[in-house]
Amino acid sequence: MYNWNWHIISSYKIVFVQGALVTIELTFFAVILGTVLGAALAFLKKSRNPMFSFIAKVYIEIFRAIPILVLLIWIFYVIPILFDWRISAFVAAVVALSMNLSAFVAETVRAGLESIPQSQSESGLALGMTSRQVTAKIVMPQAVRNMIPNLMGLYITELKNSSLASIIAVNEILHRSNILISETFRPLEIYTVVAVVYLIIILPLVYLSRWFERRLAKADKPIFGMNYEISH
Amino acid sequence: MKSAISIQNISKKFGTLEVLKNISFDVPVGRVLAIIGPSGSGKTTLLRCLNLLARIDDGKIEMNGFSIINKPTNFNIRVLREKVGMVFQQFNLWPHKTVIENLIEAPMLVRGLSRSEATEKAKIFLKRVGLADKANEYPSRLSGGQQQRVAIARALAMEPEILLLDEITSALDPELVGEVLNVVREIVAEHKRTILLVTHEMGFARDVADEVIFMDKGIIIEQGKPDDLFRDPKQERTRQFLQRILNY
Repeated sequence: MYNWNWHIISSYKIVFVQGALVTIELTFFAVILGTVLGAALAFLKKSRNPMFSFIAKVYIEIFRAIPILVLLIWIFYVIPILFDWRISAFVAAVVALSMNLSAFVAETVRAGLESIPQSQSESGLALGMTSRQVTAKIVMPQAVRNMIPNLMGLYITELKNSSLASIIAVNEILHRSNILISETFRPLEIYTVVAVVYLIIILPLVYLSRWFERRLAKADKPIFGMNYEISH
Repeated sequence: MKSAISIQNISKKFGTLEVLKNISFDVPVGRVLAIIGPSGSGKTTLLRCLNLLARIDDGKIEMNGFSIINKPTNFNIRVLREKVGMVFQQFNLWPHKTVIENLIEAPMLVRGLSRSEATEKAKIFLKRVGLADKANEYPSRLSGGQQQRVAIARALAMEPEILLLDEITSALDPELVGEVLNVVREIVAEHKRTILLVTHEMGFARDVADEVIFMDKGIIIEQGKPDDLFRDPKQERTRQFLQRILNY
């Protein structure tokens, strides 16, 4: 029977706490950047300019297909060699994670925008609003509501994906734990704690997203007698 | 008499399908024109062309002396739409906004009214459609008839000179049709606005319209005073259509 030694954990508590903070920090920046970039890509893809929509389409295809780990290594090791441009591991991780996330956010935002029937925009246009006003005041508020459950899912996945950054020695929880293991030789205890820490961070987020979903479902009742069809 | 709407030889195609073929008519200021006809006859497309939700391929539209050919600028489109209100078959209220917010959005954004000015005016229009007590409800809490009355008030809140009503009772349960038609009757009685309405309610068209057009397959088959057209249609197709509808 394996001899558990939990004592080691309590003496290195601070390592897990600091690691978890870096994990959260990394995820936070990646989520912010990825969401902004993703939303911009969604609008580019919908653009009437064929050049813009083509660029967005290609970007989304590429970054949805490349595994995050490969992207991470590529950005951290290849870019400095090609462009003689040194970036810290943390920045490389934020860039890789947000590029990957943005491709998925773009698809979520596009789907959200398309979930709002054209008749909603038309009633705004018919009153003399510009298409920008219609997007901002009529379409987006409703679309965002439809996007939230999906986005929350993406963000939670992003937090888990941030553990990949350990491969390029970002000081997040998994990397710090690996160092700790090489010093203490207690992998079982340490990896168990890592798993528990992830659970502690993620479970509240999961419940928060479910709560959001339920709330939105209540607020967004379909309009009585309205089936969103356009007649000709 | 001065025309509020003057349409000259407009046509519109969706792909190879010709939905409007060489349509021309005039509506004098302050008059009511009803357009009737079987579904697929191009009535709704015609209304959509008038406020440029659809573009005409050919011809000319003049509204309030403002003329539109097939490539208007964005600015011209908005100037026109400010003066031309439209009410849709499916209401198209904005579900994330309350009734009063539905009414004040465009006056604030398009006409530059302050929130309080817009709200003040919106309340007057809500009262006129009999829904003053529903100002802070969300559309989903209202019946179809109430929603359509809100949609009418929303169009009126822009104080348009021309009002386009696109089968505004077709999506309603029969017992709710009356309340919406009564609102329209009151607007007609003011003689302030030029109204163009597409409808399947023949009795209503006969009541309120100064002139009726019967359309089929993208062309105007017959046009006349409601009493003449309904009592004694000149064209065989008009006769058949009216018989089918009135025998129900």
